[in-house]
Amino acid sequence: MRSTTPLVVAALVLTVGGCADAGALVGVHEAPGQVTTAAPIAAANATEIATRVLTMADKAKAAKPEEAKAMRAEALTGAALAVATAADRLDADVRTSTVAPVTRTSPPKVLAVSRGSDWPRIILAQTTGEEGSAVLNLLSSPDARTPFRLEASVRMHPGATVAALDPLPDGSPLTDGFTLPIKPVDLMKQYAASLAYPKPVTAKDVDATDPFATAVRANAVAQAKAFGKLATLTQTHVVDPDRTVTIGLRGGGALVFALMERTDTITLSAGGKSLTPSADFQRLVRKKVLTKNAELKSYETVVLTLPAEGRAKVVGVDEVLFSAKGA
Amino acid sequence: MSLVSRRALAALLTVAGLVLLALGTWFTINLGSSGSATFTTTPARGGLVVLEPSVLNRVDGAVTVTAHARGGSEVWIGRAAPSDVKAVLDATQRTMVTGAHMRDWTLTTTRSGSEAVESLSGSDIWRSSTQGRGTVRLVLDQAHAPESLVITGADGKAADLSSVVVTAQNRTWFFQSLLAALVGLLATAAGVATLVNLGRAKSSRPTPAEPVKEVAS
Repeated sequence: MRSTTPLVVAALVLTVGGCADAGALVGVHEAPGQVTTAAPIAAANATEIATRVLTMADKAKAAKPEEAKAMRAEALTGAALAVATAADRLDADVRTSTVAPVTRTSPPKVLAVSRGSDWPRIILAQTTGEEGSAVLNLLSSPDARTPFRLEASVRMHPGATVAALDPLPDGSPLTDGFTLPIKPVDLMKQYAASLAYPKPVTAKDVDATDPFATAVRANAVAQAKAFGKLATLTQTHVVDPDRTVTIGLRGGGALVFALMERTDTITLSAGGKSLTPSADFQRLVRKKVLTKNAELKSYETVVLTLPAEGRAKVVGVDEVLFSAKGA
Repeated sequence: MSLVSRRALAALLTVAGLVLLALGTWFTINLGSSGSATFTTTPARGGLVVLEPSVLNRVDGAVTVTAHARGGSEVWIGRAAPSDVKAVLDATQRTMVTGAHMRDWTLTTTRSGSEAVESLSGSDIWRSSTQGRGTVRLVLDQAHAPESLVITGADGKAADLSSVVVTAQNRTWFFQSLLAALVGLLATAAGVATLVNLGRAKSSRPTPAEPVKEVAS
């Protein structure tokens, strides 16, 4: 009889113990909590979205005017939409663009996806232009119901680099997720002031010796010299604070996308009766002779990197003329 | 240990063994040799169907969701992060599948929202999606858990579903069920044997002897 007792006790322990944690025994558990400190979408999904959006943007750019408006609304948003819509107001023969931002020859490479489950969300994708230059494309989605659209597309300056971003699965923080030594909008204002003519202000926190800034300043000087005493040239660059997107870099610092509006004003001096501008200028303002003034307006999409320490550098700028008037 | 205690333990062992035997046998039959736990529901007409992580992400293995549409109509299934699904469907009329009953292998559902269904396929929250006519199936591999799954008709129309089936497969479950039945059988046998032995021991025990009296001569 004594021999049956251990068997009884062991069997009971096994039975009761097994029943007590049956869930764990068969691999059933509570659903895990949602991680909110990682990228909300996988890299493959981001690539798929970027490919779709950039293809749509390409098609919108190449579409006939009557179809282009709806296609632009579907593919573009923010600065990119403003730039494209404004540029479309000019006649096709007048419209100029320094670059063809979304033209690409290879599939997009996703560089960053915004971190967390909140909205808005962004995807940063790199494409290669027809002539081999790198193009940075910023896609954004304001809420869960709205698909991603192209917000900005900027060709990088030759030799320009962007410091490493966080790994795609981790996601990259947007403006709210980190602090910077200087506000991106203030950086952009410094850069804008450094481009002004005739009184540029030296930028303290931005290295404004990039190819675009150098060319803008040189052109302004050359143009003013050509006008001589017949006319004066003023040039302003104004930052749109609502169109600034800031993405955190892995080692600190940030990548900043911003939009500026450039206005070139040519005013004939009191002594000058008329001015015959260059053939290109005549084509833009659709006047062969200016008797009072002329005004050209352009959108400038700027990308700059702000390192954890040191001055910000301009990575690339795209410029699109959207208004030309002359009298 | 007293005789009464031994009898109580043996009885307990017998009962536990019987329960284990019954459960093990029941699970073995229902899960089958493939170890497939299949839960079904018939959603209310109108609106769409949302399956929550509390149904989809309770196991480590893949879970298959199958939607059967009435009349071979079109069905769209998409999977996304739970917070994204909530953000998109917050007020939309929907059937929420929140749990499962093993007793009758059904899914537990609740109704929520009042707004009409809109097209969802345009949103970029979907990690993957599939669509087709009649029967449409999507497999979740748990790599991106937790996830919610949405079933709707094509072009934002409400899904007309005859059933939604969730299947979790784990071959180990079959062997565990079989083992439970076997352990239950052994425990029952041991308990019954112990009770029988204790009964026999009691009946064959000798009557205590009368004290021997010394007789003086």
